[in-house]
Amino acid sequence: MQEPSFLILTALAAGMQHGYGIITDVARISEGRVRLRAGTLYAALDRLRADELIEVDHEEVVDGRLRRYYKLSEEGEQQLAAEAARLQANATAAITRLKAARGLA
Amino acid sequence: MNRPEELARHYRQLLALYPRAYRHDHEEEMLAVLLDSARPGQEFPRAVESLDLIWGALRMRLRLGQVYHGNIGSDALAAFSLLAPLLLAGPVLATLLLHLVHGPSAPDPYFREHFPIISETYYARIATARGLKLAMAGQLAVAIAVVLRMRRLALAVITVILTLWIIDAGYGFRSLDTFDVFFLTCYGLEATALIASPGPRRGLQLLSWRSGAVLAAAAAALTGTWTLTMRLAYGGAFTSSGDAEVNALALLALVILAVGVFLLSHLGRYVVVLFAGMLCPYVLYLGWVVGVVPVPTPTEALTIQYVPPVLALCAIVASALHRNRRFPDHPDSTTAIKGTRPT
Repeated sequence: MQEPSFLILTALAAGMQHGYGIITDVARISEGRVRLRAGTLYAALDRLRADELIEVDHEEVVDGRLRRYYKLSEEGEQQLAAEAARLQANATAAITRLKAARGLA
Repeated sequence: MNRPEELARHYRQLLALYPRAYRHDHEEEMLAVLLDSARPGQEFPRAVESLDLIWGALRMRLRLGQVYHGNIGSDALAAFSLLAPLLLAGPVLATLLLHLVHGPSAPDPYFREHFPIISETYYARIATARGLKLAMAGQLAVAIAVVLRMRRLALAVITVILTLWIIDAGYGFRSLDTFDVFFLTCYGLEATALIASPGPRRGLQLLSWRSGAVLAAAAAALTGTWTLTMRLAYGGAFTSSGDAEVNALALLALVILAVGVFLLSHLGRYVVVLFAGMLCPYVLYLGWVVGVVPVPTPTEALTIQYVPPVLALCAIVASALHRNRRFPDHPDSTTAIKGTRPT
């Protein structure tokens, strides 16, 4: 799973969000390292919808602007959990080996 | 014109690069995000925004099937991307087993009499059976990939098979007889369905117990008729006249199943068109053996066999273009909020 997709799913794990909300949340989650633009965001959202990982919850108009809210699907939750576990296992292995290497040095 | 309106106008110019149907669903939403993200007093899209939108539009145009996720045409293609490899898995497995059991086939007198030119090239190739085995093994691999819902793997297999096919043709192992037309049609339609739809994952969602039962019956009928036909090719025990009667029943069974699938659901008619394109070379062959269809010359046979798959592919392309203009049945279009776009 690519990092933008992972971060978008992570943003939606807390609850449904609209496009701009996802952009700001992803920036917050990644501590400003990843700043999604509209084109990138909607290409990722389209892919995630096609893969049934997210779905549209509802739409509303705020100040004359359309907002469509997305939420995580059950499949999305499962895939995000699996990906998070995989990343955590990799990170744990890397940290363990680095500590071991430092201990030997 | 004040600044926000001017900025919106510039954004719309960039969003116009996206496919029409995609714009219909997402333009207002994307515009809202772009305007929310704009800096105070910004009048023009920034360079990085423009590049991002151009790149995004290009990506959308390269994967239209994803954009059309959920419409009836792409659902039919998604169902086909799953069903076609599954339907063919039985016949190709049976043929591979026949080849293993009987070894290279000998020309059947009936086949040799009615298809002398095809017979020579076909049996010359089937003696080595390299290309045929390759094509059938590839179909099995595609079937496994779609069951595992691995769209990209299925496409990769098809790409490899078609590449090897072209190389094979370069060495003179390929001709344009019934089975070449059949497998080229299968691979071509399967690849199109995989590219132009959300793929087998969506197809699996659309599959109900009822349609699954019809699929199983169709697969059994196709496997049976195919195996009988192949036994003829492999010098089996069937006489020409007996085989013609069996094939007549098989042909009738396939027609009844096609009508059943047609009536099964709103997707049925679309799926039947695709299957008709795919199975036409085989059904025509059955028709010739049975005598329902007059035996054509080899040139006429090739022409007749190629027309349906080409028409099926044209129908898919025309459907995509038509959808791009009208997008009448996208589920999101029914919930689009009117009045948010300035007139």
